[in-house]
Amino acid sequence: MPESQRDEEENRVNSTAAALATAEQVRESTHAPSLNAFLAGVERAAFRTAQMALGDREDALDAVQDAMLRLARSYAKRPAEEWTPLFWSILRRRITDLQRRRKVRSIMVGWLHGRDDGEDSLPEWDPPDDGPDPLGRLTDRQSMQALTAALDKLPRRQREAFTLRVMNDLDGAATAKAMGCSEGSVKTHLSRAMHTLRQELEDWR
Amino acid sequence: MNDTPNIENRAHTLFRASCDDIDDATLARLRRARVAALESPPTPLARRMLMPAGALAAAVLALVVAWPRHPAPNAPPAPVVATANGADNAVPDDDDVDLYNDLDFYTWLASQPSVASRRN
Repeated sequence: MPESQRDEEENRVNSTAAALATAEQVRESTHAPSLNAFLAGVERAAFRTAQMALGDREDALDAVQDAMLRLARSYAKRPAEEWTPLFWSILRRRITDLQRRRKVRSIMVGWLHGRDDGEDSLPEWDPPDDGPDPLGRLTDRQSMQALTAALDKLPRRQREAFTLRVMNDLDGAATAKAMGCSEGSVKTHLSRAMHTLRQELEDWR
Repeated sequence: MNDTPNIENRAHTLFRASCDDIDDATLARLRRARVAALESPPTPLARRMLMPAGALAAAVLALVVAWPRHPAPNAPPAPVVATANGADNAVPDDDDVDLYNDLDFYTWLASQPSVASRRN
């Protein structure tokens, strides 16, 4: 490649990078940074919550992305203290939608083929094992699998109450808003969930 | 012994540990999703209001179209309309008339003993 052509190519790459950097700055200036911080702070827990409910990484990523999009598009101008219940409410509905769609698809596949080939069965959640303490991680993995299996057996509302209130540390009011019910209902769902989990997770005593 | 705090604490700790264990590829996709969400233009309020209204209108239309139309319970019976050639719809066809004319014969035939019973 001649020298001049290489320089030209390099200039083009540099100008593209500069344009991207400018776009990034514009984006940072036009959007409230706190929304970015909020989403950054909640994305891991949201992903794990969706993955535990859906049992599938891709579906979980889709659900979280949809929830982020919806919050940013429709509720970015709301006060920051409303974002937490709004985000979890959107994500909860999205997860429920995906579960229902999956159920309908499973029924249709079973009806069309006369059998269910198990394609939609939920795989066990399997966290990566790349840490320095394999035994501890193995124990944690088994405990997490047991917890996921126990949560799967709960009715949907009880599972949601436990996931939001206990695992994601939402307070009673935020959990109630996210679930679209009263705080009293949250307490009832949570109490029933705990009762069942105590029986399912006997080993944890 | 109340073991509820134990279950709560352990579930919470495990969940937080699993959140810290997310692989880099997934984290990168979450980051991209976040950037894409922040870059997306806000949905106008009018559109947000119109969408449920449109869905409601579509549902009402579908209900109206699919609503079963039964005749009124006390409606008078529809008058018999003569066909184009003047024949009455209530008149049976030729086979039915023949059967009716020969009804006496078929009644007598049915009352007769069968051939097998006569031989016995």
